[in-house]
Amino acid sequence: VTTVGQTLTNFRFLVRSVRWVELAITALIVFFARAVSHLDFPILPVAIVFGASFLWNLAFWYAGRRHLVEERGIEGVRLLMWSWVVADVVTNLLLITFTGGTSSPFLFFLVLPVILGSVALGRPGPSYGVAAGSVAGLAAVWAMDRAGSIPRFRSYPAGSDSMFYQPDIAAGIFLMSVAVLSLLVYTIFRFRPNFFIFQEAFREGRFRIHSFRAGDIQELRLEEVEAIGPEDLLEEVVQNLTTNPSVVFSAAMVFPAGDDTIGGVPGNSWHQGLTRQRIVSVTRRQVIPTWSEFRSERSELFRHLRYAETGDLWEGPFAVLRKDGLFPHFEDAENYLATPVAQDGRTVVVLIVGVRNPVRDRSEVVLHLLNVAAQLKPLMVAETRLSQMRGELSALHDQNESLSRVNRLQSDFVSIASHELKTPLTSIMAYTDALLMHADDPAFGERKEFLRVVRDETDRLLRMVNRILDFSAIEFGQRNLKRTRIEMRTLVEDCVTTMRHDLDRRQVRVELNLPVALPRVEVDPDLMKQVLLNLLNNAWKFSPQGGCITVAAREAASAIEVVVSDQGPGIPEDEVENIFKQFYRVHRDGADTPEGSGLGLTIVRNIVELHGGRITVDGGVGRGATFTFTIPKEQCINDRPETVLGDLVHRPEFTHLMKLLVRMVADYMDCKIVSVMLLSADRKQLFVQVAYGLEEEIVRDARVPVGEGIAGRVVASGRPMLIENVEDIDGFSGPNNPQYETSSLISVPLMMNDQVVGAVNCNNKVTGEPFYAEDLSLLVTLTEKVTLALARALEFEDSRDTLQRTVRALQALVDLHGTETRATKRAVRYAMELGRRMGLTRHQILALQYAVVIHDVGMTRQRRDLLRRRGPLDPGEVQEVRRHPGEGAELVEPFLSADELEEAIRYHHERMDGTGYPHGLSGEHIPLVARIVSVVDAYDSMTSPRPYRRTLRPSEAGSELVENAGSQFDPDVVRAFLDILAENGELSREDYMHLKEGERWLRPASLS
Amino acid sequence: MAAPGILVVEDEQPLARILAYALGNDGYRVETAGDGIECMNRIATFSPDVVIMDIMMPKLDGVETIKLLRQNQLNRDLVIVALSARCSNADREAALAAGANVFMKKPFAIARLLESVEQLLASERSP
Repeated sequence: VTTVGQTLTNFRFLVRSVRWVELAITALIVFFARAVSHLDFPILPVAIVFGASFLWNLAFWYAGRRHLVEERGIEGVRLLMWSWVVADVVTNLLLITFTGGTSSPFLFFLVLPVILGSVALGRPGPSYGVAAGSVAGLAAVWAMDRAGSIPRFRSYPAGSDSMFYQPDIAAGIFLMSVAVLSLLVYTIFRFRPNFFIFQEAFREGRFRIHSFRAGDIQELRLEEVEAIGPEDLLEEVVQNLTTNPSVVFSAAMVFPAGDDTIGGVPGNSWHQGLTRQRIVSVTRRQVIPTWSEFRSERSELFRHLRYAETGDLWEGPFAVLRKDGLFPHFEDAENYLATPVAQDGRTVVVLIVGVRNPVRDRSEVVLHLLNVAAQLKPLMVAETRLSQMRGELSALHDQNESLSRVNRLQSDFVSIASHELKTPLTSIMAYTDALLMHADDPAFGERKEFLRVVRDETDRLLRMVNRILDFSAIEFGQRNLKRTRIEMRTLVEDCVTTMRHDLDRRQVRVELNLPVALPRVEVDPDLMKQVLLNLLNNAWKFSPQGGCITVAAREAASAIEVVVSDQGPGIPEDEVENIFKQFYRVHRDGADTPEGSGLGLTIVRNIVELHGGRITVDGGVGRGATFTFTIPKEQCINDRPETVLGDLVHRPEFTHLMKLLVRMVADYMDCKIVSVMLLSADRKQLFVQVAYGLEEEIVRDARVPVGEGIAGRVVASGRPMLIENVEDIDGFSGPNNPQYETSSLISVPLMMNDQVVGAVNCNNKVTGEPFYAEDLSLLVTLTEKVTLALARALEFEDSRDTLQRTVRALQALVDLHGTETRATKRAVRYAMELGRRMGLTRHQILALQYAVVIHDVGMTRQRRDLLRRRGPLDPGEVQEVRRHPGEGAELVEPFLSADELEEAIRYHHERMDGTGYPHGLSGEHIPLVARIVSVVDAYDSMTSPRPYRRTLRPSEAGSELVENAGSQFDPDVVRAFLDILAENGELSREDYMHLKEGERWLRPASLS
Repeated sequence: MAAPGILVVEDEQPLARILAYALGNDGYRVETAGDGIECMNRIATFSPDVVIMDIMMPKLDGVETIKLLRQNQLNRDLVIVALSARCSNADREAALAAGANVFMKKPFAIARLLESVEQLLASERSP
């Protein structure tokens, strides 16, 4: 992605050499002249001047290179150049001061290399800059010296105005200058080919700063290469290449580790255009140098490879311009072109092509390069295939993970089974032993007591066995849900009755707080009772004598929320993460640990998740424990007449996707009712296929003829509709069903492959407000993305993978909504407005709107405890968090129709100064959408309540933005954003003016 | 000489009860402790000849308790019988390494336990 000068760093040895040779020779001359000509300038200051100049160069080269060139790109290159100019001028100034002014001979030597160097560098701007700057600086020094404004030591012999008048000195100086010249010429020509490409790159403005680390290649293991398996690919490419008449031969080399040969090994390299005999007769060593030779600094090929090392083929190929004996057996080839193929920043394969035609000038080389590069296109395919294989590898890795999870589970299981099963068994055995011993003793008084213990322990054993069986049935997915619609109250009351005996024993009360209007839930009653019983039992265990357990429920947008809380000791914060793990039990000092399998809460979580819900717990010692779980309100009817989609509807993944769709829409749109209607096969009427929060009767019976009703009209016209008040529409007297609480609704056509197949409807905003235009466009975007993904997934019938990724993506979006990181509606509105002001196209604005909502989707793949963590993260965890933009972009890949969206997700943590992640882009290299998302997201999260810090006021958040404009945020975006905030009344006039006063940040930081 | 004293350290109430009953029936002086910490408190006043120690216990588990006991020179000759439901070789080694004289798997026959205790006490006195 970094397009800034790769070439330059590869010339560091060249530039460095020229400068150091120059410096060393100047120093030699100065001191030599002093020795032979009885000059009396002081040695120490002059030596210090040279030393300082050397250190300056060294410092700028080593310390400055990384910060200047690699991080700031071409800006850095300029800075580096100017640092040399400054160094030259200062050195000269001081030398003249100490050695006797401009009438001394040394000035000549100081100008000479500068001019020579710039000539050698050719036309490129920066080198002229160096030369011109130095000459100008020297001219200024000369003028100042003439005017007498530079103090100087008088160091030449008395009686003569200048040392030039002394013939022996003049002759010595002449000889020295010849020496300097030849050294410089040698240095330049020694690195001539590099110069050549350097100039080329400069001229085309194609800088690619790229430090190629030899270590990277060295570390490559042969096994890795084999795992990638490029054989067939490369063969194909190599064969393709030979169709070019000018290509003499081509070879693909795979880099193995160590110092072995890198090519010529069957299976590791491929040749075309060579006779079989030739290949056989040519030893490996002769075909291609050994690895150590290959990567040695002296190897022409390797040096070229260094600036060609990149996965980008059009930038990558390079030419070896001379026949240099590298491939002595390919006499026909005049020139070699080669291109490396990199994977994850490491060169995996090098493709070498011999070209027959002699190449005389550079333009011809470029032409050849283009020619060959066109032939290399199949390698692009190779790249995709490689990444596919990477995907497969990671799938294998996941499989391994889950296997080892099973292993862990097994060992936990053994442990728990040992303890929890054997403990009652031990008692039973011991008591029966005792009973047996006294079997014939009629006076044995404890018989009854002992038998009761045996009985109790048997009960306990049975409970444990049942739990383990339940657990394994759910854990290993052997149980299907038998859903029925049922009142939550019935379930809770049943459970309380079951527990009555235990509750009474410890005088624990259960308080129910269930609204009368609570919709019925569609659950498996047996399993849901297990959830409630487990939670109640848990609460009961930890409740104090005479305590109170509260069971409450409420209706949220897309789900019913049930809360079970107790007045027990509570769960320590640091245990919250573990509490749902198998066999985990909270340890408390000074309290009896009640009996427990360590499975109860795991079973609870599994059942809740099986129903599509989520369970959380609030921790805190002394506050009691509060468990909250949700039951989604989705309903899906499968026994339907035929739809336009035919059999598609009956595929389980279709149902799954549709359910996820309604849930996602309900979550993101913040509305209580969502339904997906499909067209019947005859295209005459619509019926509800999947619904969220709708009464069952409506779901079952609703039929809307096409052209009538809102959904019917939407389907007929194919255009989305936003109804602010349904009573305003002709022919509608009001909400046609009492379940619709508000008279505002949205309906969007469901399009698949450019055909209307149904509609998505939203009613009842949770806030009770009507829907707005941005709601409509959000719904349009969401629907579009989902149907696109759906169509794509269904297109490839066999592609379970595509489907799984789609499901995963949707699931992640639904999960995202449950986290704190979600964006507010307001943020979406501002982002769209910003997009408009920054001149984005309509298409880009839509992508932006979507991006603001889901940019953190990668977070859902992170460990939950990292997201909750308040304290500092260790470096490994930081790395993990830093992966989320990339993971997010990959996750929602099935939805990506727009590059902007992917860019926005991937780059929203980049910073203007290039210190962000994941790629460290800077300035204009960060896509505009990502810059906008970054600003809006920062403002939104600063002004939203978060548990780990206080909520900022708009003015405070605004000044944070201003403070970081240029370093983190794009100043232009921040400026436009402040305007929007002020216009929306979010910022007061005074605050706005105050922020605007800080003009400092208005200057774009990317220009220095 | 008084009957040998036995301290039963076991968090499972029913099991502690039956062990105390069976051992008491055999003529030993028996006391019980519900966990490792209670055991450490009781040991000073009771000074038993034998400790029957459950390994999986809350607060201070059996292995740790045995280590603590053995740290005290006075308890060098104490006979310790470890009882555990976890009975892999590693568990067994851990208990024996900590200083238990005998390791018994749960569940066990009471008669076996009584026999072991008797044997151990006998070998303790004979040398």
